[in-house]
Amino acid sequence: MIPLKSYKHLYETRVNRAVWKVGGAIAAALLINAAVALLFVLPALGRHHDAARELSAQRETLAELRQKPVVQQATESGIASILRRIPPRMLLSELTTTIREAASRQDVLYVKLEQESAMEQQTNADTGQAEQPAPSASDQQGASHYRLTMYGDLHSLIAFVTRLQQEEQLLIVDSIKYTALDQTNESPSLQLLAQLPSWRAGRIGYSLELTFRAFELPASIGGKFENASVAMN
Amino acid sequence: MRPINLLPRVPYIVRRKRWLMMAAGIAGLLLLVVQLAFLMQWENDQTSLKKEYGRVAEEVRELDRLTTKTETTMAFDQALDMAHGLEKEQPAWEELLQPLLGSVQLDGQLTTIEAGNDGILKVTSVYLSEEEVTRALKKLEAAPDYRNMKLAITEHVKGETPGRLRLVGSDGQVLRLDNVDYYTLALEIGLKRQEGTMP
Repeated sequence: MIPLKSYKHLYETRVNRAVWKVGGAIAAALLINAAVALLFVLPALGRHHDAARELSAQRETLAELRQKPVVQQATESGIASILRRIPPRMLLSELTTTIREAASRQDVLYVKLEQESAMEQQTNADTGQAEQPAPSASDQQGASHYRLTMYGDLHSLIAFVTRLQQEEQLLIVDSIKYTALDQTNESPSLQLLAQLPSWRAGRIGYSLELTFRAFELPASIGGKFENASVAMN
Repeated sequence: MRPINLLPRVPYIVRRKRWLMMAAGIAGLLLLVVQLAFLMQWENDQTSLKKEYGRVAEEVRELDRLTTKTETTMAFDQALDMAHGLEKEQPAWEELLQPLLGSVQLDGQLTTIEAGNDGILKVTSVYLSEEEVTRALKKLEAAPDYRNMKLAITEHVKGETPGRLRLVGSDGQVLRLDNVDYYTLALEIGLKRQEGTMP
């Protein structure tokens, strides 16, 4: 008779070996799959989800943008025009040319141009002089104040003011004062007046004193046009 | 004689060891194939998603460009607003003075015209008769911009000799007011504060 112990352990070694081998095969299969899943499949799934999410977000952005109205961008000619109207830098040469040309077109005599200092403006504002413009928002926008004296006949001087207001460069005429030269205590130079055709024709001469403001664009705005200006130049 | 195996039956795992190992291998392989199939599917999908994303992104960029103002355009708008704001401060001087010019007949009658930021147009003028003064006032009163007109002074004056005043007619004829009676009129006209008409 075979002893019970020997019988019980007859296949133990073979069973153990088989368990190890089958278990090893299963473990290897699982490990390889797990490795592939971790290294390739899951990252690919993550990328896939990310791409789908990004696409969805982009489509939402597109849908939002489709609701927005199309805007009109500034054109080069528009920029050039506004830069002529309010230059980034006020050039005195251009200002005097503008006045001289406007004067010659209206047959009036360009006599005197003075730039008022900030202190004078403040003093005038404090003393409440009527002909001085009150400090306004525009004063904060790079406005320079000038006082201009012209001679001519009344109609030509009135037309000159209009012409000055219609110049390409924005000039705001704040005050005007026309005085018949016969009435002034000053003695205008007769040689100067003789240059006026209307004076020579015997018409009454007038002096016009006006104050006006010329402007330049604030640097925060003008700076944005630098590239555009370079492109246009 | 037929041999009889009296040993206990060989355990299943031992008997089917190879089969079980092969089954594990095949199952692992099948699982791998399934994983690879998914992997390829997702990679393909991702490629088409990226292409679609690129197309939509391009459309977004284009629409963004069309619906968003550039810095230059924003600066342009600011400059334009500034210009328009300032233009509103521009009084229409010629228009405001036209009634005055229409109220006199001779060159030189309007001796001073002055207007500034206080919104008051101050005028002094000379006339040869009281009737002329009245006629001029009537004309000025008819002007819509001159509704708020105040008389500063009107005065009967005897011209000096030699005087400084002279008037010129439209025909060029000069009239000196030496030793001649004439009438002065000084007015203060409160101008309506309207956009583009008043300082």
